[in-house]
Amino acid sequence: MPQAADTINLGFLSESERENILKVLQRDEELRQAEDQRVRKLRTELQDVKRKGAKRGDESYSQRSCGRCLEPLSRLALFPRQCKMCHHHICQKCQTVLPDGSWLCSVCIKESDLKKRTGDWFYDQRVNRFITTPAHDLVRISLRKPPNKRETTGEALMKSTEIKLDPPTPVPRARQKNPTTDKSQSSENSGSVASRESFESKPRSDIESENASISTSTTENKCGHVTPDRPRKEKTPSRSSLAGSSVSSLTIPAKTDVVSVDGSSETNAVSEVKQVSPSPELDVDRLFKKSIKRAPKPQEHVSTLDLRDRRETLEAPMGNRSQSVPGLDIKEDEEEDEDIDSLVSFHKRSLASSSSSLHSSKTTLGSMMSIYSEAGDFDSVEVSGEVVFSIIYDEHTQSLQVFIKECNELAYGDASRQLSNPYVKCYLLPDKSRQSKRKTSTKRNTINPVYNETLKYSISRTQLFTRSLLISVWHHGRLSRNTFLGEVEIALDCRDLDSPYEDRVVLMAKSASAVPASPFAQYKGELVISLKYITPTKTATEKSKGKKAATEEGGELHVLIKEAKNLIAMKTGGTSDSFVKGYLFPVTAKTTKKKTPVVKKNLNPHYDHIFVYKGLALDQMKEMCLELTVWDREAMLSNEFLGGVRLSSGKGTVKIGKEEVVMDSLGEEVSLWEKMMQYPGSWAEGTLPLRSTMGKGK
Amino acid sequence: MSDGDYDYLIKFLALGDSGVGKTSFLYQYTDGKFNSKFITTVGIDFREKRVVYKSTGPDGSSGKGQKIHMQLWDTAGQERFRSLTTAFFRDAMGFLLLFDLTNEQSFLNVRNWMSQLQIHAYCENPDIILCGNKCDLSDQRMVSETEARELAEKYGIPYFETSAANGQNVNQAVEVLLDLIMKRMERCVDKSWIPDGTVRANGPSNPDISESSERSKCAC
Repeated sequence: MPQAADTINLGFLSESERENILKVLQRDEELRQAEDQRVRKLRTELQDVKRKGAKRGDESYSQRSCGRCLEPLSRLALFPRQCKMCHHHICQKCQTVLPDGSWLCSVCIKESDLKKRTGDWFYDQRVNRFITTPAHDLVRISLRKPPNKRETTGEALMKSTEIKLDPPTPVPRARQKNPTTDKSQSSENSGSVASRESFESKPRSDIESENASISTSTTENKCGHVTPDRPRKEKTPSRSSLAGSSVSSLTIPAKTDVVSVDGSSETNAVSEVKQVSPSPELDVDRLFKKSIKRAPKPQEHVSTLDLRDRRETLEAPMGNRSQSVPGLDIKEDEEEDEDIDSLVSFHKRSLASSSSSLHSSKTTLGSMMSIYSEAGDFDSVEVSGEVVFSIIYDEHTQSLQVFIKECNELAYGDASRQLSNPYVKCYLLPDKSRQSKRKTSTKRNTINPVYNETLKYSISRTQLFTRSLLISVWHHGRLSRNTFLGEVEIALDCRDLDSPYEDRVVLMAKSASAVPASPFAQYKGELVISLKYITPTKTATEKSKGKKAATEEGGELHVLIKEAKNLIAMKTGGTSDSFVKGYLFPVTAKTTKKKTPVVKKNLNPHYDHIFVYKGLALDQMKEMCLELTVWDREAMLSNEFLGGVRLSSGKGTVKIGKEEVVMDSLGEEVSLWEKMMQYPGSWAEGTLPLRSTMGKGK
Repeated sequence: MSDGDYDYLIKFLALGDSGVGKTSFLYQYTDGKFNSKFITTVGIDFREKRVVYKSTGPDGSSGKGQKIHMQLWDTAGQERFRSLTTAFFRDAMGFLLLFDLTNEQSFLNVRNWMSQLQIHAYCENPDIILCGNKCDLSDQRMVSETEARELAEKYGIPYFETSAANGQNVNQAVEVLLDLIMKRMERCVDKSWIPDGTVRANGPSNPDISESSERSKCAC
């Protein structure tokens, strides 16, 4: 079996040959980026088609309605009605006839078509042979690194710098431009640490919580000179830019791509970033010098760094950390953020109940959104009034600019005192994470606040047509909870974004549709895994994917974590350092926890790692639940949740810690689990969409 | 050229001894031109071409045309680049194995290239086309068509006598390879609903009867 080394020896190449090869790789990179963009579009289409059909994978639904459109099926139909791929009963409208006369349902046809068009048929096979990076990555790395030599930190730094100059990973440009990659706002604070941890809805190891707290303290030490309280928007621009630059002094200049979070602005080094010279050696020098020398620059109130420039910008590993300087966000978020607030309190509650599971009851918690709505950690009032705004797309800076002018006749957030301290918050849906959140300042004691503030999203224009803008108005309760004052959702696909016309829209109460219907509503990428149950009688030595897995007494569950696809980028530069963690419930929490190694700088990581769970009887499996979660590894901070799957029979409940939790597996998650039980000894492989939250959806 | 307006991105790779005409072959295919001057390829390179592929049904009818974006990797034949070029084998979906009809050694080396492919390609039996190039130089021919055909038959791969200089069979060879790839693609996907021991939910087929069988038939 070819076991390609991490690098190949390319020391024999002359300088000009190296350059020549790098040029070829650069051209290839461009081609792959176009390809990635195309593939992403295709996947979105599939997701759309899939979403239309409620029944996915699971055959146990009523056979009287079509598995795709849910229309009742005629009993008199003569044609074969069961799709041979998904085994759903399908109405004629949802069947697509193939050239050979057979047919498949609309989703399956789309899925197999996608497998061809995306090249997945090829990659799925290749993964069986190689546990390695693609050639272009391998060669790129090999060209830089003297082989078989331990790296010093400096070298590592340089390597990563160089790599950034010619991005090695097959990251589509589209995703780099995506505001979700905007690291600046994902700065972790204890609040979100807690929430993310609890999201996982399983007992956490102490180590990780320790990590979280350690990271907070260490990073705080590192930035002792940072103004402790975050520059608020009420402060003068010069002040905030000062504070901002003191932040970036411990950051690499190029990394200060801070997009204004809530109107207040951190200084950013746009101009410097753009001067970055392509010479690696020089850049490393700059990394250190410039960050100190940099003089504070007065900035616009709202500043944006075009994310596209990231490709050219340099990156140092340290940058990631210093960017998430704690203390910058904590205060503000704990005070003002209704959602973070609720998550924190949730976490505290769950800690108190000695289980860090977010789901201390059987309540249905769908997502971030529903968590705080259902937690009811905000007050609501009769919605009234309107918001006045305009939206334009600025080609020059490649950003969407939402100008919030004013609100009129808002409801009183604090009805008893006839008081409102309103602020406006935006999300660029479907991204409901903190990364897509923008806020205006809070206006005191008024129901007719005038903001005249611009909220910006760096995003390519082509991506906008799938997005919509959610503008909500909140009352900031100084001592009490925040109050929801109304919202509007603006679809961006059919809106003229070139002329800044002013819109006056009546605020609405929270609509049911604003809450994502399921944890799958948000596309987080996919996880490719194989499951195999090995019966106790079988004592042969199983050899799979080049890894030996010796069988012992008792049945075993083998979980091959092949790869993930289209993960969300968490790190600057549009990548993530991901790993997969697995828990099998209900077994004592610690013993079932498994992890894959971290795959760095890759949104389509190949893990090729097997988790083996021993001593399991086949009947037990029906009652069990396997949770696999994908995380972005953050060395000094808590890891970021990238998505997860929950495999089970989809029926009944399982004990996680002390709680009974509904096994809410859906579609492929159920069918794959059942296939595994149905055919012991053979691999059941599937590509599962990642849930955006491990909260118990419907 | 690299906008996303196509249905499939298909990646081929040309390999073979140095000087057999890989670069010229690809140049002829993409641009229809020939340059007799020998410029050795530095490591790797690639060319691109858009074509329309019409699949032929079982009844011989041709289906709807599909836009193919072809990325044709060119590799250095020189031994010194071997570690680099073989690394790229894994990214290619199909292979054009060239030898020089006027150079017997390049023909004898076909065997080595085949074993290199078996090791480094995405699966053990990838789609390969054997091309005896420079067939226009009939007076210098060292390899007979018969022995070349025999070798190709032994490997079970198609054989073409090509000329990068006059374009003979160049398009045909690539088209046949494309057809093989498109058919393999169909098979890979088709397989996914044929319940023959392989269990799947929605993923790709992955027969796991045993390690060896998986290797030998490459899941297709």
